[in-house]
Amino acid sequence: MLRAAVSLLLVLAGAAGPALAQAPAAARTVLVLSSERSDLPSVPDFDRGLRQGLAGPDIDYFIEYLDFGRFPGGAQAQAMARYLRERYAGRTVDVLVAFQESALEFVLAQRGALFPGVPVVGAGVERQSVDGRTLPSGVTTIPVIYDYRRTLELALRLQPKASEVLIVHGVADYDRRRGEEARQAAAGFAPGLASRVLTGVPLAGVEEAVQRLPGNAFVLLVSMVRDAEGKALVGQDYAARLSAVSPVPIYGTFGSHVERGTLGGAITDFGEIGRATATVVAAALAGKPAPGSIAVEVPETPLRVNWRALEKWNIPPQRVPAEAQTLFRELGVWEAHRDFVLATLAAVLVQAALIAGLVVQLRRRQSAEAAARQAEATLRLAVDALPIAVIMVNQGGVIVFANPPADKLLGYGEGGLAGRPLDRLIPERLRSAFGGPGDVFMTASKRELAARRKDGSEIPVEIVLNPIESGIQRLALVAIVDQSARHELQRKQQELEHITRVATMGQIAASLAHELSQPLAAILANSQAGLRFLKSGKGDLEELRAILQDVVEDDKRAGEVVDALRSMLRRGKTESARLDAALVVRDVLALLHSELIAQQVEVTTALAPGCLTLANKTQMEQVVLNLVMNALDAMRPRPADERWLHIEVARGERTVRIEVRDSGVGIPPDELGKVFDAFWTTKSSGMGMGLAICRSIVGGCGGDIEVTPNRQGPGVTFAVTLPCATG
Amino acid sequence: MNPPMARVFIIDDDPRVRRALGRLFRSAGRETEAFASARDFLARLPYDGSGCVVLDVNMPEMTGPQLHELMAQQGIGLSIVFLTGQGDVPTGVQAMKRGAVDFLTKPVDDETLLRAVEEAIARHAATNARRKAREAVAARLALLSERERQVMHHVIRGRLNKQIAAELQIALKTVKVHRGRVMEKMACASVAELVQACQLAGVEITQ
Repeated sequence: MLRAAVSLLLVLAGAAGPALAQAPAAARTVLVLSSERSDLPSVPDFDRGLRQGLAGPDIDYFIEYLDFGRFPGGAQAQAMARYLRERYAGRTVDVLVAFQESALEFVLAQRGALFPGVPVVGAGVERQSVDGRTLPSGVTTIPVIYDYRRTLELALRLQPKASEVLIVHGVADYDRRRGEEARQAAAGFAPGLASRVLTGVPLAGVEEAVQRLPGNAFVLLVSMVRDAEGKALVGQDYAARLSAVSPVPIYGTFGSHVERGTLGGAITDFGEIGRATATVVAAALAGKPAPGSIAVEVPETPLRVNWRALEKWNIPPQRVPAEAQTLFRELGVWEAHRDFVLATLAAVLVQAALIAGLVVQLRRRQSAEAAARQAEATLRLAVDALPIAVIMVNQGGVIVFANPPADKLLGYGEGGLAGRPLDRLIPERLRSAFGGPGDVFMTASKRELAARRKDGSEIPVEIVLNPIESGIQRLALVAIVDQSARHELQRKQQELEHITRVATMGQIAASLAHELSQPLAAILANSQAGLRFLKSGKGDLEELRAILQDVVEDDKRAGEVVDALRSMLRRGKTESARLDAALVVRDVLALLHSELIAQQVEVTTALAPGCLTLANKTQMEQVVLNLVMNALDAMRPRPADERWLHIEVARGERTVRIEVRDSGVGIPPDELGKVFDAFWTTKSSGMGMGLAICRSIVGGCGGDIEVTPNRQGPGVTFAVTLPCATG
Repeated sequence: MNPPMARVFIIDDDPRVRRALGRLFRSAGRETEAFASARDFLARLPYDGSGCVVLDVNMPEMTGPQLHELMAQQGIGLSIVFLTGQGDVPTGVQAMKRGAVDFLTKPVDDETLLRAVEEAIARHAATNARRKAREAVAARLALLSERERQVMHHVIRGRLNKQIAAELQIALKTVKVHRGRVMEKMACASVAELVQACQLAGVEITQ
């Protein structure tokens, strides 16, 4: 099983050998000038990404921190220029990388004197500072985007009822520019979302202001390189401090903020910018001319959400968009073993790197045999001992080895996976989404996939990718976690929903029979009347036509009842579609028509047209049906002339609201908070699952359900709020 | 065989069922009137002719059985055939106890429904006839003087004129005159007829 892996390592070492030998002669020099100091999180992220992308022994890599945030002004720039001139006097710089605007401006001003003719790559610079500007030849840029609009979108997705955003930024030039962008993004972003800017205040003042925010607000934390007291701040620290005290969620575009407690945002990934920069630098080193003022388009800004922060600020996890990356997400079995697995993976990683290094050295000493044995023994021990399925893939997308749990999980016999292409494990329909074999090397990340077993069956899995940096070449460690259990849980939830629907249908079976018997009675009476007219010769053609017309329509009416029934009794699939809330209410009331009459309940409705939401019809009908059935139960003890039900569908600014108000016996105040809990019931025969299921369905659509006592008179109002489907 | 006056009143909140039933009864040669609610029907009364009511059970505001009860209280004698989409036994038993002609479940075969309707009409016609006769007797009774009424009471109990004269302490001749007037006013040719009329009117006969 390991022969392939080991021979691969040997091949890698062999390929690297000559390069190492030539390194001193061919070494090229890349100098990175960072606008800011090294402890702002964007800087090391960028640095790491760039180094990864440039990986190879023939590059001398230098980085200097200009730190203009703390040392602003022309004199400081001059001092820095002198320093750089003296320090790099004896070296030839082949490519100059300026990270962020201040460094680029500095380079553009000083290039002639310091590094004449050297190609310049401006990385992570604001798009505006490049647009409409002609850069000198040999200068190109990789712009950056701070995606405040998508961050606001995410915030409203997670907090559909939010009506206020507090934009917080510091007083450094960088902070002010970001703040202005954020302000423009928020202005008129959504009707009903008021925005307010907080700047020129020391961090302690920001803390106080944030603490006073009402529950329907959120914070857009932009950037605070420097606060009003002139204090230089580090992103992780102020993000953690504000997250600790804020009663409302905090969003932003920095990954480091999310890691330290903010809720999430559309993340500007500086590691990605670093990797993009590496390709441009490599082209420049190869002597290719700069492609113009923009070398590479803005890398994507992935949505990222902090799972722990979700819990902290009581945001239902169902609202998190499927495409968002999640941090600190905890998942059943995986959660229990997570630290152990990650620690083991880390150990393997380190070992793999050591072995790779060892192989290189041993290869030089011409003792490959010993190295191979050593490597084989160590790797077998480490990986075979892992309790989870792990495979290792080379850059050609070929599985170089797999441990026994992997062979077993994927249905291959021992050693059956090694040597096969990774593609074999990925169902065709997912291959494009996966991005091809090279994709596994992009970054250490986690994602959900389906894996194809040897017999062609598919199992839901989550994979954890860890590229192994050997210094020469890269392999990817892929841990595969079987998610069947979680999918089984989802299936059971659907089953429970189905059972509850069927039970509800059972309760109204008599009424449904009535609902069907009406059109059937009409059809029979019409047909027999027709036959009699024909027999007696009394009916004219017009009468017979009218009879047949009525028969057709009554039959359709019966068909609708059957359709509604079938929809409620259907199991499984819960695909969402755009759905008119008024239609849902109408369908449910049609189904309950006889029941409502039998219980002598007066029904009134106010159904606004065009209230569209994204949901599954059966599920949404189940919610409304459940609420109405509960209302009927609550009204049964009341005198017949005091039973009324009012259903309203209305559109909010970004929401659709369905209200079911009854005149029932109500819910005691101390019980109001518990009604959505599983097994809460007032009925001797009830399961107590109805409202719990309602909440889970509504939550799954990114909505909310709540109950309040009626302001006047007895009874309660259940309100379902769902996000508006637009477009 | 169908008396032309008889009319079928259809009360059902479902317009399509109303229309279909209307057609069915018309195809059987009946006149019909249809109402969406008990209240609409009550507003249409009084109705003098013979007929019957085909009544839905499950209706908003006033249910079929509630209307039935109200009609009984107000002495509206139209016979009732219940027609329901949801026939539960207790409701059916209750309806029959109150005097409904039948309690049928939708969808119902035309033969069954028409037979029930005919029976209801016949029953109503009979009741009507009895009531009319009773009313006629009552009207005649009202024409009698106090003395004539006293004499009549003795006559229908089989007393002889002599006994009556002694009982009332009047002359035999006077008894004969009163007796002649009673038979004339009550339009009876014999004592047997008079007894029958009094029975119909609920006059107490036994001693």
